[in-house]
Amino acid sequence: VRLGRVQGFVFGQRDALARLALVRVGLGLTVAVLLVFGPYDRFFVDMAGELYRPLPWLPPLGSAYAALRAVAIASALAYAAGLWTRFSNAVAALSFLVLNAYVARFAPEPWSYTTHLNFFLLATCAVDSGRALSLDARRRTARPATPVERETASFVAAFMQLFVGLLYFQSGLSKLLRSGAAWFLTGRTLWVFTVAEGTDLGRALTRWPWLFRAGGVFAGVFELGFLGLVPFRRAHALLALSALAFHTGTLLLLGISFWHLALLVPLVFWPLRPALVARLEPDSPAPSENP
Amino acid sequence: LSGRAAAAPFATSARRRALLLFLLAAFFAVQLAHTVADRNTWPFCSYNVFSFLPPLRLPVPRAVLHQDDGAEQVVPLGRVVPLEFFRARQVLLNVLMRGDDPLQGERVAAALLRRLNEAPWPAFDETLASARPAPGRRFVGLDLVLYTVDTADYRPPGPPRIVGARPAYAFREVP
Repeated sequence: VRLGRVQGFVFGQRDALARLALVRVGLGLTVAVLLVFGPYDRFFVDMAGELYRPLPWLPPLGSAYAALRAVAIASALAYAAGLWTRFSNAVAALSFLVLNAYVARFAPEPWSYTTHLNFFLLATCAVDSGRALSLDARRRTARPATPVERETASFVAAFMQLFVGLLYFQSGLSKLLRSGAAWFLTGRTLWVFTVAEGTDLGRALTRWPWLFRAGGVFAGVFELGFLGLVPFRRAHALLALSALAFHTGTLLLLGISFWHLALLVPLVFWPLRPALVARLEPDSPAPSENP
Repeated sequence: LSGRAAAAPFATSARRRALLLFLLAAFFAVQLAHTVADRNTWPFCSYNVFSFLPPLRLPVPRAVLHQDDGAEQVVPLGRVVPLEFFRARQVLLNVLMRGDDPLQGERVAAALLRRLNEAPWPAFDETLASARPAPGRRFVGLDLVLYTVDTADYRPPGPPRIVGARPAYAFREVP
């Protein structure tokens, strides 16, 4: 892959601003739902004295924990709605970063499985993702985006796409390094954990052991192959669908949805129709110029 | 590949773009290094869950909750701690079974029983719903038991065959 082509992918995505408006809504709602309904409750106040391992810059928060959580929820919702987007984006990124750093320190091994949300929120601070689908857009008419802003938006969109691709690749590489090709070819890990800890549906599927071997092969092809197709826009619909299939499979077998990533993958990858891009961003370049 | 745009002139300098590409590569190299090293350093993640090949006969930890009327409930560890079930397991096994400080284990077990009795929580995704005592009853004891299950000859439906059990931790509230 020539460097010029890489730059075309990283800096030349003409629909990036429209995509980031869609991602903003999904990302803000995901963070808000996770914080309201997910494991961020009073446990982290009640158990701080016993379980929290303080960071030098982050002492036990006590009752300030609830306030920080409330700020993160409110700013994530404002960001999703596109209200004072750049400000709410920055507040959501910072408050959720501190909150997630804090709760990660309650387990012996730091909990990093939701930090893609932190990285995405930080990355979107580089652009105004509230130019469309936002309350900001209703209140004021934004000036047309400059070419520099478009390149920055493309960089942020490419960052998210590569991040997702690398995440799956890391998951596949970890299996390859720790277990070898046997992980993918035998399906044993899927079988054992489905039987021992899986769902009723997953256990019912053990009537057909070949399904688990096929699942192992699919996981290998998906996890190790995804990243290589990220720069190819024509493959993006396939990538989004395969990710949904992968996460649906782990949900049905093992009760693990990874929804906070799975629901964002289509927003990050699904090819946007020119009519949608034109509607979200009337001053966008002609759709035919889209790389 | 998105090559058509590459032919178009860029708005920013080659130096700026090169710097951004370098930062992108460096960031992803750090991520990848965590996978190779098989460790997590927040906020970086190795994504190593389920990456090992387990034996067909393996230990499965469960919590045994004792009610004040003597009744028992055997539940997954995720129903005792209001966290994702992976993390709940890490916390319980590390603090109660492997912890250096038995008194800390007792304080944590007592706090968890208090939480179960006074403020149960609903299920959400990987956070399991809390175990609940029978109406009018309360939990007064918490054990951890390592059951050995055999998955090799499993036939659905129902749970797998238990071929062994080893008590690993016990706590009782002092009346």
